[in-house]
Amino acid sequence: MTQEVIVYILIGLAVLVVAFRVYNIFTHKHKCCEKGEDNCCCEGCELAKECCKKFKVES
Amino acid sequence: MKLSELKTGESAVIAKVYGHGGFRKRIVEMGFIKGTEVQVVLNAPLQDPVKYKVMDYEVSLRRAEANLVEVVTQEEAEEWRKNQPAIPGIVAEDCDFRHAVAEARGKHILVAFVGNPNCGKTSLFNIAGNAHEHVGNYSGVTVDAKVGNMKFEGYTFDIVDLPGTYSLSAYTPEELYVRKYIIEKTPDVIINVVDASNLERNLYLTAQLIDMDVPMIMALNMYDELRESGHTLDINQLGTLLGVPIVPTVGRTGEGVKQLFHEIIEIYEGKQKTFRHIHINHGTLLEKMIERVEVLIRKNPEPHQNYSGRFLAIKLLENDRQVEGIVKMLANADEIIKERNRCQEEIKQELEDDSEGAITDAKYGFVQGALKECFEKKTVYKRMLTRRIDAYVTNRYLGFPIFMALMFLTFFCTFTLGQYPMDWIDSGVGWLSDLIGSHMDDGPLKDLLVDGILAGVGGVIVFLPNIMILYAFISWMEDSGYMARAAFIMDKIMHKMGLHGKSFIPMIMGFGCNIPAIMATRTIEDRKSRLLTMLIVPMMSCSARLPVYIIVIGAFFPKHQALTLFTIYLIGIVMSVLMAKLFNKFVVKGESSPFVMELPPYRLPSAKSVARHTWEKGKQYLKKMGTIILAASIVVWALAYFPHHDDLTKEQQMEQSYIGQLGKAVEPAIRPCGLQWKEGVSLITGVGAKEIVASTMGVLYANNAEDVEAAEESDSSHLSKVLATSGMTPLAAFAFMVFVLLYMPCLPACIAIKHESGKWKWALFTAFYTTCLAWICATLVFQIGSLI
Repeated sequence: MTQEVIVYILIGLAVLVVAFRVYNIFTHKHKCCEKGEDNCCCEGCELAKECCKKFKVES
Repeated sequence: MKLSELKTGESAVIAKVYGHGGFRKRIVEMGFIKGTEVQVVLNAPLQDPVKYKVMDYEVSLRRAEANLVEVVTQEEAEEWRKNQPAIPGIVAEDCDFRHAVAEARGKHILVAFVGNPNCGKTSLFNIAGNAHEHVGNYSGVTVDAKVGNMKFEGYTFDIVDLPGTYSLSAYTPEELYVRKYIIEKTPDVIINVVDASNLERNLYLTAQLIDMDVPMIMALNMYDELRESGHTLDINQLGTLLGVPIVPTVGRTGEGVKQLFHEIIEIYEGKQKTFRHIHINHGTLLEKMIERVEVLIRKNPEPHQNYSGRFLAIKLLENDRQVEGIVKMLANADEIIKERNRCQEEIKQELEDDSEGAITDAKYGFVQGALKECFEKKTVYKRMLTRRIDAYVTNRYLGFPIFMALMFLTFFCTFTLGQYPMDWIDSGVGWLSDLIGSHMDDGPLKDLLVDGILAGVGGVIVFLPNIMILYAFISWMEDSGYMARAAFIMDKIMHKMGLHGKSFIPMIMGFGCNIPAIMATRTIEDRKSRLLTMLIVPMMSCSARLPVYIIVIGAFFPKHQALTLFTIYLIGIVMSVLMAKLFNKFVVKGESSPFVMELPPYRLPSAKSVARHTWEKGKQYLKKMGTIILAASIVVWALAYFPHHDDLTKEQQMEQSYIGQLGKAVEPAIRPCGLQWKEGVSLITGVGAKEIVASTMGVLYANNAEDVEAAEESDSSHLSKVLATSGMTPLAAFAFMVFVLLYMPCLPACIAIKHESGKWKWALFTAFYTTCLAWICATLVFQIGSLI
């Protein structure tokens, strides 16, 4: 395998890692956010306010 | 799994029934007992209620009720059977297996730590759950429920660390959250963590928990301090008076933790002798009023499956809005509310105090009475020491100079102590570069390894010791109780700038990482202050920006390293306070609410605790190096390598590369700040994570490495030496540091602002205003500096 091929593979992997990281940043949610009637179904998400509506900052 | 999670047609075996009082009695009578098979017959059209078949008859349960029944599936039972060793000659029945699985599942105990802020809950949690959650000697460190588990005496404990709260009213999100958790999740046992050095205030929460009628044990934490103080406490008598078993513990050393969990098992198995439910006597008048309201509540067959009638009556008299909501669902709600109003009126006339105040006074009266029976104060040894130290560190004239001196000392040690390990790592990276350089054939892979990975990751990894030292100092100041004093002396300024006194805690946390700092704004009750704090936290220089400062300071300010770094951090604090004032006036208007900052006694932080925090930080940093920084370095290198022309010099090649073209495009915008295209590109890549600013510089300046030979000998890192020969002036270098300090927070921090504020608008606003501010400040530094 030539150096070029290895370099292209490494660049491809690096781009994937960066893309995955960016995707993760934007889509990260408490795992239970989709469940429950008020979106406040687990111990974490209520205070995290990621999905729980009642503590959102009103401004 | 919970019974509510089963789908129509599915069946399972009951492992455990949570809840207590009337609900538990009713559900057990209906046949929901351990080892019994239950099947979902039908879900109602709106998914509530659900019809179940149990013991050959059908019964409907609300989803909330089914949530309190834990089950194991037939598959789990089957799996368990397969794993059991066969006993010759004995053929077990199916139901025996089900029973055994249910029994095994029943060996799970859910415990929750509840207590005042800064009473050592998280320290105990870390020991019990073998976790590494952040602890600090100030309130508000835990803002979320942390979950851990441990095995002990044949039981598996699911342990939950809840945020600290002074009471169980429904005023703050933490109070509401803790109460809701206790009610909805119905932990098997509550561990009420009580600070032994501050009994009276801590026992007020205990009194409220007693009202809730929950199975409880008390961890009398920081017991070593009580011992040293010379006070005497008859633990058995206090336990008998409260009806709560008490176990002395020391969170720092783990003393008493095993005994604590042993007692929890005793309570769970119903063998504990001390544990009993008592009614706290609020005095004749209040008791009469509580009873009048309670009688009406109890007219309903089942007011609430988890709240006791007495608790609802007390909270109703205290004007608790959430309880009012529950009561309004009852059939005789109007009658109850009218009676409550009449009782409140009578209390006001008789006691000349509102019912809420009267109940609080009565509870404190109960606590004082209990302590009079079994607690004797001898000396005030520990507090005297605390007061003596406080006389200096919170002094009107000495407070600020001491704060500044400690910050300066932190930065001085970050440089001087960090120098040696930094040099070793730097030499190691250099040796590896030389090794690859001399043994590999020329080609793109060699360039990638040397100029991309080693220059990028290696350029940043050398600062690991500095970051760990900085973190060790911050951790020591937090654990000792000094940070609470720092918040105290800053409180007045904070108020003047429209910030909440509590804002200083997230700001201090921001020195470590902005993301938990933004999340820590949850402890601020006032929504305007919370938002205001969120907007200024990014100006607190996080540890990810430290490598850039060390590189630049090492290159241009080698004689005044600590002073320069101190100035940068100070600029961050000053700018954040000024911006707070500005936002308070024009963007997020609102009055700052009053706040009493608790000043915990000083404690000598254990070396183990500081080392653990520091190591956690180092581990996190190394993990980042191996993932996103490595990937980003490769991408930056690729953008600087392509399109590739062998006939060009390295500098020409970089200038015509993709990243060079991008850099040249942004260069006009940053030229007024004295910056060149390479700094511009570093700033852009740093949006992903601030460490990438330094790694990008490592990659982009790798080509100048030949000039290092010409650079004078200094203690700085390899990258600093390269930078010193790049043509950048000290003034432009300082402007660059100001830009890095103030410009937009990293992407995860922006997302954290969006999550916490609930709106993209505030995340985008923060990114925009910080970048504008960074540009203005860096330009002013460079332009004014050029004139001098």
